[in-house]
Amino acid sequence: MLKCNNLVKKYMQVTAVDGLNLEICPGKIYALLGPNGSGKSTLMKMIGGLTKPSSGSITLDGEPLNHKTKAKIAYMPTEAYFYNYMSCRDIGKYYQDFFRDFSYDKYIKLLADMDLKENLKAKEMSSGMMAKLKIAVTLSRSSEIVMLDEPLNGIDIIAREKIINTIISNISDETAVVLSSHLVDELEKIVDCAIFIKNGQCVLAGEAEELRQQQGKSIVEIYKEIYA
Amino acid sequence: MFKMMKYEYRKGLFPMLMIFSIFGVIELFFLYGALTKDESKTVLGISFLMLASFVAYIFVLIYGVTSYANDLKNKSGYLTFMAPISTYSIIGAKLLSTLLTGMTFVAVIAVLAVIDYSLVANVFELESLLELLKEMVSAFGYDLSSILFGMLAFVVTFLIQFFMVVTVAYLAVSLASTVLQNKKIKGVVSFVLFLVLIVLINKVAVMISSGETSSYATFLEAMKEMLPVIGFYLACSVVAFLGSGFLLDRKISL
Repeated sequence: MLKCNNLVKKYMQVTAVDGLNLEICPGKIYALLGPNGSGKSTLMKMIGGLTKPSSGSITLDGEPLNHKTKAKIAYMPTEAYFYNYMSCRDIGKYYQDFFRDFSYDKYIKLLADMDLKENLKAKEMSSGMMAKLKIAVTLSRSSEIVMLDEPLNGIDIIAREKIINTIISNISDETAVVLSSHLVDELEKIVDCAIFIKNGQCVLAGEAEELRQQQGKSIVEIYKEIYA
Repeated sequence: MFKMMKYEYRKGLFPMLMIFSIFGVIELFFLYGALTKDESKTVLGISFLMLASFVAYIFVLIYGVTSYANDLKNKSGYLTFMAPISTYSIIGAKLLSTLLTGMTFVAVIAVLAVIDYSLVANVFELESLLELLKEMVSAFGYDLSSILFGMLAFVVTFLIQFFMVVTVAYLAVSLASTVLQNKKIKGVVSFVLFLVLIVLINKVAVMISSGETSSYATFLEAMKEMLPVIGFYLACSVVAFLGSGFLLDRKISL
């Protein structure tokens, strides 16, 4: 289980995450919701080990995050993060070298499913291709935690359903999946839990179905109520 | 760490090949001059080769440092820092691959120097010049082999100093990244900090070196003379390495 305890991240005068508490349990799909600048990506980066909290702590199975816990967390940043010289094949080899839970065969299959050629270089890709590549390489790992930051960014409306199906069909029952997206209606259909982030704080969180019953509204409507 | 080194080395392969291509073109020019017994072209070729060696040194130094600075600045650094290895391993991989690149250049330049010298000696009959050089050196009370041992010791010290310069640059980049996070002025501050640190280190190095030019019977004797400075440079490298690793582990956010 992943736990965030009173997590704070400050950038000079700006507080991106402000005393956030959170628990992520295995076997569930979480929607991390909030508008731009609400602190979703900063939170994911902290869990991914790329950004250091100003205060508070993050633990995975009771162990504070360190370089070893990175092996249990598959994090897909929203930005393109590959070196220009790398081809799809190079990226797969890189992941294979560093992540024991990475399956190169699964990666090749996912690349084929997404119509990406193995010798295609990162610098030659369109934003849509890059989005697919990031998903393919991240889902080829069998990690305890899978975090996808804006996985539908750059994906056209036709391909979105295919991407969502790919995400669902490539995760195990032991994996906790955290998805952030502005496209709340796309996520509503597939998530088990929803976490609403506003000004760096968790303002509402719970099982999606419980939230719908408690509030008498859909996740999309709750989103509009909180942020409108 | 060695896996990471592979990727660091691979990243620098294209710029390294560019520099080697420039070397190749200059070498061809030199060979043309030497084989056609054109003295002015040969001298010009040698001068350009020496200049290219200096440029290669500056290139490796700058490339080694910018590779680290860019990983802290650009999104591609996520790939490196997402890997489940310690920050010390990441920095170590970057430093060692830079040193390896530097040593590759030194090896290539040394091989070229030996081949080119043999060629020039054959074509322009330089044996008499070498004898003249020996006589000149002994006239000043030195032995040519002693000077060569001194030069060899200098090359070793130079490589260690190069390693120290890169690690200190890493520390300067890490300190600026810690304090200034994503501010644009970070690069300038890193550079100023680096200059200040290097000036201070070199002042201390001058103070602890003997400053005398001695005569060396063996290479080990020459190295013994350089030992205090080498020890100091290594100590600075270790402190800078540990400092950078600590800051990267605890303070720096991408």
